[in-house]
Amino acid sequence: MNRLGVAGRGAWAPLDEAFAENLERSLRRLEPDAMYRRRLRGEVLNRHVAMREGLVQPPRRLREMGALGRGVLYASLAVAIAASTAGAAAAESLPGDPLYPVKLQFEEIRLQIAPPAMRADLMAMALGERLDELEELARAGRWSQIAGVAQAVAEAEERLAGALSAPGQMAVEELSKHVAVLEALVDTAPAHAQDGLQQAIQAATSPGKAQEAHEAQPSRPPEAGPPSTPGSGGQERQPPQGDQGPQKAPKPAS
Amino acid sequence: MRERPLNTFLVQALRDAELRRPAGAMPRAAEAEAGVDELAVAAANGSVEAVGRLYDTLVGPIYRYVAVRVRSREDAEDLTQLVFERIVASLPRYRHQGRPFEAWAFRIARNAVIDHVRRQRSHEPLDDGHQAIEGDGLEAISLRGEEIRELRRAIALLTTDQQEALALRFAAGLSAEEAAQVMGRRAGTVRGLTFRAIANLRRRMNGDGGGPSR
Repeated sequence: MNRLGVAGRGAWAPLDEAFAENLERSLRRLEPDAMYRRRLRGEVLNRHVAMREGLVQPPRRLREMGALGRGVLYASLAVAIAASTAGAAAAESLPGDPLYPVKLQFEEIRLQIAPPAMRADLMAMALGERLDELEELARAGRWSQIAGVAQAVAEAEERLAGALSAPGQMAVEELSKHVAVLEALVDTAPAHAQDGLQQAIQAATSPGKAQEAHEAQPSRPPEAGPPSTPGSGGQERQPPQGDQGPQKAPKPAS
Repeated sequence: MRERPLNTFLVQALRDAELRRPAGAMPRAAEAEAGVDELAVAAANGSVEAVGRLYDTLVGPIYRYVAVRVRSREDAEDLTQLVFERIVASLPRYRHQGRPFEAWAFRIARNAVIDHVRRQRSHEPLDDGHQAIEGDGLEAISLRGEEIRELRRAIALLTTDQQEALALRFAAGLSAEEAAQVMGRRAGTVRGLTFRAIANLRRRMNGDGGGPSR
């Protein structure tokens, strides 16, 4: 057989053509061992039948990124963000700072690319971050911004409550620490900041309460009170009754 | 979970294959006359005989292609087996859409060879490159003689693309168009690679119109 292409004999030097023909003859002598060939034939047919009858599952094609891939991507991006100068500066920013919107955007990206199993914990981290900001603002005496952050706390709590079908232990523990600090701050805050702090404490304790209720009474009837409705922001929430005082943080399960 | 008796089941399944040929499988007389693409469609629809005939048709070319690209008979046999496992596993997804089945199958073979070569390189000491030239790959497979050793050395000195084009066209027997589909290149490029590979080989082997085997 002439393997020299459609250009034919004229495109090749005569010596090359003769060489090519000999080369082809040589390589065609490479044949698998007869025993190997028969054995492999049997294996191929067996495998085909086994696969056709569903005894062996063909390897699945990866059509979308798996949980591990997303986890790796998430970790890489998180490291990249944290390692960047802007990321580091934004992470330290507080409401009212120029880089604060960047910080919120990073949090959102992190949430969007995280595996579903990690989202509840990331939402809890975001809520914890808002409470952290609240504490920082209070320590810095920036009381005028407390109300705005309290609303952000309430929104983060609502988001977390929607994902709390299986809350992580980390979430409960983190929120407990923040609530304790906020309760201490209530006594020292000026009057106009009191409502915001109370609101934030209530929001921070809600997920824990929801989890306790879920664990203790999975078939609890709806008389426990309606869940927060969409659109009910922190400003629309009723402040806690005076005789109840700030709600206590849930104790982390040991 | 209780295991099913695989061998018993397979024997029965093979015996029953004649009786309950899957829908879409071509009649046996037609299968005997069918080309590779038609066989592939029948095989994708579950025909055991079509798979057997595909194997008979392709095992030689695929083995030769693999054997030219690897070092030893064991590697060639292992890789050929892996290629057929992958072909069988991918058969249910095969749809004939104008692309020859042989090109599809050789693409699987090519990927397996590339993975193998990459793995081998990653385990090789840096100063061991001469073994790729001095190794006894081809002659250990089925050929003997000084000419073959020279050919082996000379092929190893070609570029990867030239080796690939040479293996696909001269060992596997593909046309330039088929080889181009496997390599993801144009047919003209493959012809050029083959042309240069032959010229280089002949020059290196100092052939004067002769060849590696007469």
